[in-house]
Amino acid sequence: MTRLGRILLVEDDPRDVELTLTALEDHKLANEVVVARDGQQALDYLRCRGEYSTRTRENPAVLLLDLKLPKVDGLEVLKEIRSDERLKLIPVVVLTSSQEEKDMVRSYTLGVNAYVVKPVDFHEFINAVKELGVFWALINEPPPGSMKK
Amino acid sequence: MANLNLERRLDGSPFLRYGFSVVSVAIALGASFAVRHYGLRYAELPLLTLAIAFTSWYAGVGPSVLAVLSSCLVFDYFFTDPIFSLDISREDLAYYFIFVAWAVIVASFSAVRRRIENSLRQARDTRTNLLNLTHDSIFVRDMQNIITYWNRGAEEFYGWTAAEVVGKLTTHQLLQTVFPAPLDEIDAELLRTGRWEGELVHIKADGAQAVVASRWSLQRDEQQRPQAILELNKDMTERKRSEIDIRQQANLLNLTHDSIFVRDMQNIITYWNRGAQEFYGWTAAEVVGKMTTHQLLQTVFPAPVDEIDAELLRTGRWEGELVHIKADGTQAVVASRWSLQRDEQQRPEAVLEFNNDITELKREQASLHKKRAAELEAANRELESFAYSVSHDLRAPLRHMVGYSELLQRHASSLLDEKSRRFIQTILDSAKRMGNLIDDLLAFSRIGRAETRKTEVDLEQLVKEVVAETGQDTKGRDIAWKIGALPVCYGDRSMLRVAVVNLISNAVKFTRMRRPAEIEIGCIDGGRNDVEIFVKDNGAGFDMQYQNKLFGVFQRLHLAEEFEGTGIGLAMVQRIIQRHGGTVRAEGAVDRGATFHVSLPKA
Repeated sequence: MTRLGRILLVEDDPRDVELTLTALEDHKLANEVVVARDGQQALDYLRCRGEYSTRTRENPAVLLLDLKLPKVDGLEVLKEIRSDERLKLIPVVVLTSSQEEKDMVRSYTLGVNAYVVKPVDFHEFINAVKELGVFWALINEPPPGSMKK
Repeated sequence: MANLNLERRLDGSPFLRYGFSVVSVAIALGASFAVRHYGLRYAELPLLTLAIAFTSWYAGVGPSVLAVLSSCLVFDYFFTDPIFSLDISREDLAYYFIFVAWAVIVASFSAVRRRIENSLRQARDTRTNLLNLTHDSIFVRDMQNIITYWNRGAEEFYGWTAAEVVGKLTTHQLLQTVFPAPLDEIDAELLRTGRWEGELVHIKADGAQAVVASRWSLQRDEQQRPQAILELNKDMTERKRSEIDIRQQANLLNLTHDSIFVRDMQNIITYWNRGAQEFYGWTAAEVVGKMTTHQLLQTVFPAPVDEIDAELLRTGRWEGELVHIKADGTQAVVASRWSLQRDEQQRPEAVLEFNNDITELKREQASLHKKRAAELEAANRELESFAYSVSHDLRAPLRHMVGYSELLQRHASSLLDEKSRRFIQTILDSAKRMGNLIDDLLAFSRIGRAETRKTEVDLEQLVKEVVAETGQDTKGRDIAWKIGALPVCYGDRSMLRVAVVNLISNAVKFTRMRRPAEIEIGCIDGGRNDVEIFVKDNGAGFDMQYQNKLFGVFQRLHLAEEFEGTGIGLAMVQRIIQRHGGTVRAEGAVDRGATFHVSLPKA
């Protein structure tokens, strides 16, 4: 339980990155956070390609995925992950501003584990991130083969 | 003439009649004596006989009997032996018998004549009366055309009394007759065949023109000489006028390009105008009297035919769109107007059908519909992407504003003074408020964009659910809930839920200062198809002056310090209810609570 799983945060907006990391830091969850700035980078990381070709192949304990991303957007990434044998078991939490029903429907149809709308209120945001982090990185048992420290 | 008068006067009074017989016998007696004086013999009997004759002629049977008897007496008394006595000797008896017999014969001649005259007079009167019964004009004129008889019908129709015209004028002068042929030809025919028939135009006493069907008969005497002409006239003015009208109308009906036809109560075509000929492609000769319009045109009706016929019989008219097949096989859509014609006894007689070609119009309408539907689709899709943008792209910077302000607060609060801290807090609050506004706006627009899934919704159950949920937020508050029986209505459950939540949370919010807060939810039967729900509270209420602003988007009637909220709640309620085809209205008074009425279509 005390072993911290790796969190892959896929987020393009630097401010959101900073806020999220700050929230995770508050609860000591930030050590094992990798940030990908767009969908392509996220996929490269997961498949150990491109800039990540030297990485040891281990899946993160959870993917915090924003939907609106440049190059390859969130839902595309999700689709890729879920159709890849080696990646499809990774828990994915969509963390997005959009409350639109059709985004939710598409996400769940593609197989997300959770859909969280980023609250405007900072306290709530911090809380949400903390809860997510604590649950997925600490409490939840990730699928076998995931990284754990 | 004088005889007639005397007779009439005597007829009047029996006293006069009997008196007359006595007087005439007395005169005869006196005359006898006078004659005797001058030496003439045996004049009594003839004179008495004369008296009897006069009496029976003028006075009738009864008095003549009296005259006979009194003559016998007088004769016996004055002129037979023994004189001045009433004895009758045997030799004279025969004489008396003969006298009486002779008197009776004379009297009966008279009586017969009287009877003949009476029956003649009666016959004449009867004839006159019969001739006066009819409304047709009957008059008789002699061979100079002077009027000799003018019946009551003629008096009433032409306007002159018999007294004014008989014996005074010719009919041709009086009525200014217009003949259909030269008068000599007519007279010649009359003389040749004894009759003539034709239409005449007369001018009545009031100057009005009249058309009559005239029948003339020539009366001849025993020597076959033309004696008089009987003229019988029947007023044809109305019929002529309507004949002209009908002909004029028929011509008018042929001017128009619209199809007009008439059918009888079996729907067989009785009239088919030129417009119908041109439009449908059949001539009148081909269709009139041969088949029904429904058969010919293979009519497609917008409702069952019996319903249409029933309406036609009830109101006298029907309007609607029909689909017809023309002679060339093409389809046509017409706007059809039917009128029911009734005769004088109000029995349905015929149906007039008036058709306007709207095939092109319908086609245009259909394509316009399609275009508009496509436009609407496009507009909706634009709205969708707009809303999506708003929800995504506006929220992110907002979040950053809030986040960094809080971080600032955290990191720098020890360095900041009271005022600065207040400024940062204001930034934070404003950003959060903007977040709420965006959320509300998105929710509001979603109502318009979303598909409604209409089902039966049990309002009572829904309300109870919502009330139970508010229980969480209203812990510690003293609220008296009164929920009446609510009906089942027809609508989108999730939308209706939003409306109910808004109404109830409003009631809860605005009764915060009341102890206890009274919130009542009930139902009034709105009649026919609607059901009316109301939510009533005893809270802050509102000024009716501003009731129009209540339902505006982001409109508020209270200050933010008094009651929080963005002012979108009621706008949402209205939008939702309107999408269900219902209406919302509010009534209230400041500080005396408010009641919101919602009407919805019944299940």
